[in-house]
Amino acid sequence: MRSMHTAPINLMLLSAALLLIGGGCNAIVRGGPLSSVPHDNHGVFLTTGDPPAKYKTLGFVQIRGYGVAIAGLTEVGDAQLNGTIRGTLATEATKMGGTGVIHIEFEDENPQNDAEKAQAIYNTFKSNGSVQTKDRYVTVTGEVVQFTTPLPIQEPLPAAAVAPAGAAPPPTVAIPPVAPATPTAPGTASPPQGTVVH
Amino acid sequence: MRPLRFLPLLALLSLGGCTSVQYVEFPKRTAPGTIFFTAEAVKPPYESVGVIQLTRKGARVFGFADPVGTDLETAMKELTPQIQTSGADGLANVRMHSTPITTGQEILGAIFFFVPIGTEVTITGELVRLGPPRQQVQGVVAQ
Repeated sequence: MRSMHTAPINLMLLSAALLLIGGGCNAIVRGGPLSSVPHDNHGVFLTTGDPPAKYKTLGFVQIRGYGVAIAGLTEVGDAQLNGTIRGTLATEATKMGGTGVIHIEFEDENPQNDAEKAQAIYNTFKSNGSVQTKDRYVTVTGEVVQFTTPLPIQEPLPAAAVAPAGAAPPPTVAIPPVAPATPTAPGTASPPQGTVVH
Repeated sequence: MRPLRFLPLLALLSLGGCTSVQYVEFPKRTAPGTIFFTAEAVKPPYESVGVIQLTRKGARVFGFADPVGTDLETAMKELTPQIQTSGADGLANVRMHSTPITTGQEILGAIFFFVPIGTEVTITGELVRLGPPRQQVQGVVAQ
């Protein structure tokens, strides 16, 4: 009888030990891609580093997304890197009149690792009805900029012209900025918007 | 005479100081296929594959033992397979943060061994693939 009572506890301890040894203390959070260089010219240019064109700084923005992890299984709210960086941050930059956000820094303040998720699931099932929740926060900061020189962009290829692996890279073109910061002298005017410069 | 009892402990703590130093060497890209880490931006052209954060939580026991491995080097090693599976060549604009444990704290941890010290390490960065971005054609990525 004694072994029947201790068996589940031993199993739990063994699982916890395996989680710890097998990387249970790791919490890895991923978000979608930011902007590549050359840019695909879709939306606000987002990067964690320096931009590939000259710019003027419009301001700085910080966003703290809040969400809730439910029973270690799912999350609701805005505490996700993807939504906070590519969604809220880009939207706020557009509202400020920016065409890009550079030097983006981000931190998921309290990500759940596998051991914590397993604990939350166990507690939820054990508690008969009450669901264990955990507040989640993601903080993102960035410098909102407006480009004053053309941003290198990459023209999308037509469907029939998809290059095979190992083919030469497609041509890079440049587009003029949305709003030039300095007036240009006569004779050295930048090309009108929409003109492709080779 | 009673205060003298704590003199060796105070001497140890003062010798240990309050500075904590952690050193980690970033792997460089020596050949195609090797993963690199850099705290700077990469030169274009490059393709952004995504952003990633690794957080590793653990505890120091007996003041010095770190059974989980919450130092910068272990965290970097843990992150390397994630970079490889994502299809990136490396991690750019890396930011690191680790709980600093001073020598004084280690000594106190050894004395009060029944109280583990909570530690945490966090690495963030942008996953990048070197070279021109793959072309997006009607939602299909050209290989």
